[in-house]
Amino acid sequence: MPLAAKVTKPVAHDPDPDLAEKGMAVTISKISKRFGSTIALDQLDLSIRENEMFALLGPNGAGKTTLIHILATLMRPDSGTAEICGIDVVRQPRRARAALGVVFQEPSLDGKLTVEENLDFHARMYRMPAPLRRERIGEMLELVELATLRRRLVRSLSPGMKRRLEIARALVHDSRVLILDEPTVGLDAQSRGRIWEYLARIRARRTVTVVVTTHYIEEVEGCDRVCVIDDGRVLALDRPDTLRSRHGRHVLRVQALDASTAAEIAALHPDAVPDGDGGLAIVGGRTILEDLLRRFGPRIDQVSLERPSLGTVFLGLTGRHLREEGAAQQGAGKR
Amino acid sequence: MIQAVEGFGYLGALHAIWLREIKRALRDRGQLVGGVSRPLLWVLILGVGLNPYFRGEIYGEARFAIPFTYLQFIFPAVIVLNIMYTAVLSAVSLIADREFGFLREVLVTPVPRSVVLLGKILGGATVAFAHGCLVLLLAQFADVPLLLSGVGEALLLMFGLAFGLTSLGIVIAHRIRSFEGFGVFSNAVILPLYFTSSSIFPLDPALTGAQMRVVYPEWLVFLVEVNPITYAVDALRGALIGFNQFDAWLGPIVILAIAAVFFLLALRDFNRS
Amino acid sequence: MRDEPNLRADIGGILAVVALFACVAFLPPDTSLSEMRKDGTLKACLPSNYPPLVISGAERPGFDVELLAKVADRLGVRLSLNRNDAIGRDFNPRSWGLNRAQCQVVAGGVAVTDTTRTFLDTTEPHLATGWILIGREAVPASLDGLTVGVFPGVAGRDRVALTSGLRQEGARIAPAHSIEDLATRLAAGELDAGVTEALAGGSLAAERGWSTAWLLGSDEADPIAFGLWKGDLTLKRAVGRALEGIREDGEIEALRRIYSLPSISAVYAGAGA
Repeated sequence: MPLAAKVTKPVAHDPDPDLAEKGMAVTISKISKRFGSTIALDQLDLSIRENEMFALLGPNGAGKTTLIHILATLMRPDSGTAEICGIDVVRQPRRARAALGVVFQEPSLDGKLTVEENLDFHARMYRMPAPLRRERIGEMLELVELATLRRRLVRSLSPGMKRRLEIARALVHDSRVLILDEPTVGLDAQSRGRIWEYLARIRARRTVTVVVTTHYIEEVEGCDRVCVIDDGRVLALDRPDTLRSRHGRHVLRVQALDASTAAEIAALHPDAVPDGDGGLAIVGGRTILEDLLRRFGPRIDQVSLERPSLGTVFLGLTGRHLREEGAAQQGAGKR
Repeated sequence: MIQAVEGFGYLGALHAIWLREIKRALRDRGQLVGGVSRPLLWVLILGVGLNPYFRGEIYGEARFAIPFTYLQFIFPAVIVLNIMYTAVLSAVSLIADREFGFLREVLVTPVPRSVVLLGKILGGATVAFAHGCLVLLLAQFADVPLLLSGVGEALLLMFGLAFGLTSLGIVIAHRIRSFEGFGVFSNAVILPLYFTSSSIFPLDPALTGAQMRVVYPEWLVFLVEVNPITYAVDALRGALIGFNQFDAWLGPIVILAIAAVFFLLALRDFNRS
Repeated sequence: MRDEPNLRADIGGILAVVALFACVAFLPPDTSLSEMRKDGTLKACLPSNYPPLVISGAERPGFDVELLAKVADRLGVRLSLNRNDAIGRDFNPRSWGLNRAQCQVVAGGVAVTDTTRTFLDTTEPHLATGWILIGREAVPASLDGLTVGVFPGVAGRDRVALTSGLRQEGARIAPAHSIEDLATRLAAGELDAGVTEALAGGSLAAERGWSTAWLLGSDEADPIAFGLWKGDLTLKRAVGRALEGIREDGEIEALRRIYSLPSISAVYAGAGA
């Protein structure tokens, strides 16, 4: 079992003085969910403010998708309550859904319908009157720059266009809370950038709370708050810059010349994590760097010291890399 | 009261789900080709090809002892076959919806699941019903007179049957995960049901003396009698050519029962998942 | 694969299908009509004497014979009559030995019943008949203890039900083998009453001044038509069209007047019992 000891103990909610004053878009209290012997969510508490851009950050298997499925009323929690705009998602799922717009990780469009028909179907499902339907569909297609493709069959669209359409769809019924599960995964850098641009634009236009999960760490920099979860618990929750200053650590990346050196280094630093390129990442600053150079100097191929970033925050909190296959497997292996 | 008002409010959603099924069917040429070739093959090729074997040769002797020509006899059954294929296969769309995630999109809307299911079944049933009507276009060729009252009754029965069989398709689709599995399974259901429904041979041995001599083995008679499609075919024959092998009231009741039972089963499955 | 759906193309596809089916409806399903045209002859089998439908040695040859002649005329072919003494004598049409080689049409009293239609296809009926009771003076009010001569006449009607019904009334049954036989024995006083089919019996009674009554009630009528071999759909349609034209031109009505088909209003007292 590779070592993935946590550097920091899980922290409680960040007490925020504004919290009580602002209306809450999402309130989650003591939510638990198990799948057999696996605990997906463990007494999780979370509050998301109205009009907030909120990021959920966590490795695979951390419980993000389970949490989103509970919020989207597709799954019932074993215990605890969750509210969307004050509506209990378990007791009044249909009312909660009316306030929600969801973009799932996997595409959920009908490829045999056109762009416009997909939106129209959705709007009818939300019982929107015809004039409002037309108006909103036009607006949203404009927003995601698909207006010229409105008569195209969806199966002929590129993955990026499909994702944009899904965002338009989640917004078309004036949803108050928009949940996006990995909206940018599998897209090229340009498409990813556009999607964040649309989200910023819609927030400028109307009050909408955005809850987004991602594992592109650079993407969450623009969010109001970031919540790091792992093993079904909140590890940290704060503004990106506060997170960086509070939990950010320097991280050393070491590339040894040979395997035996790598093993020695790993033995010396039991909490070192493979970084995917055959090197090791060690949480720690200048002292450790100097120590390493003294001990292994000539046998080290490369070494770099990373400044605190959200990536190093994440590594420090979870002991895992976000985008690294090894880390993902590690996460899966724990289940 | 509030419940009732809410129920009406979902008519628009019901319409949207129904319309989507229709649009998908219209754009699915493969389905249309099947719906067209099946009746043509059965009525045109089988019916005409076998005509010399069933036609009269000597007055008083009959190989095929029912008071109709063979084409007239199988015609209502071909309608049932076409409805059955289209209805059961239209449930593939449920598997596709699940596979392509669209089902999840529908389930996070505020529309109750029962409305979603009803819309899907009504949509599939409408398409299957249309495929059944396609066969009616061949009535002239099969020498089946289309009288207003008979056709009206037949259309009602056809829609009821289409509804029931679409529900059956949904029930099957619920238990099958993949497209391939569904294809195999539905064929394993449709064709046996069709062939043992007294569709291509008459059953009632007490009808005439000549028929008496043609005794089917008991197991075959048993299969035919326990097959609910037998009674659906019988009901359509009653409406279209005025021929019933069983009590005339039995067919419509069995069709109603098929529709009710499979809809409730589908609803139960759908609410559970 | 198209990127944009095209409603016009979808509708076009459906219209193409409908057009295809409409064309199929005009395909000839068999060769019976072309065979007859090649021959130039419409061959009919009929009993040698069965007034008023077939009358031997009279100026007017009988209702069915004249009607057939009109049909052949409209079809542009010759009419060839194959008179057969055996027809009607035996209760099983099989022993009459009629087959395809002898005729395309069976006439002279073919009742449109399920029994007939088991063996033959039929045209639209042009007459109707039922069972009548004949008495020399008045029609007896009860058949109890009487000797009743029975000649079933027209083929395809339920003679078993007739005789068992008469026995229940307490009548002794004396079968007659032709309408002449029945007439002679009734005139000789050998029989107390006669039961036969309305057309033949009606004209007999009119001729002799005997009285008649419907045995089972006047609405208990079986339609009379021409019989065709099953599977000869093209010929059936051609004959059907010819008959339709004849009817529209009022010629059937004219024939009925010429043969002064008897109208019977009395009903036997035990009717419906």
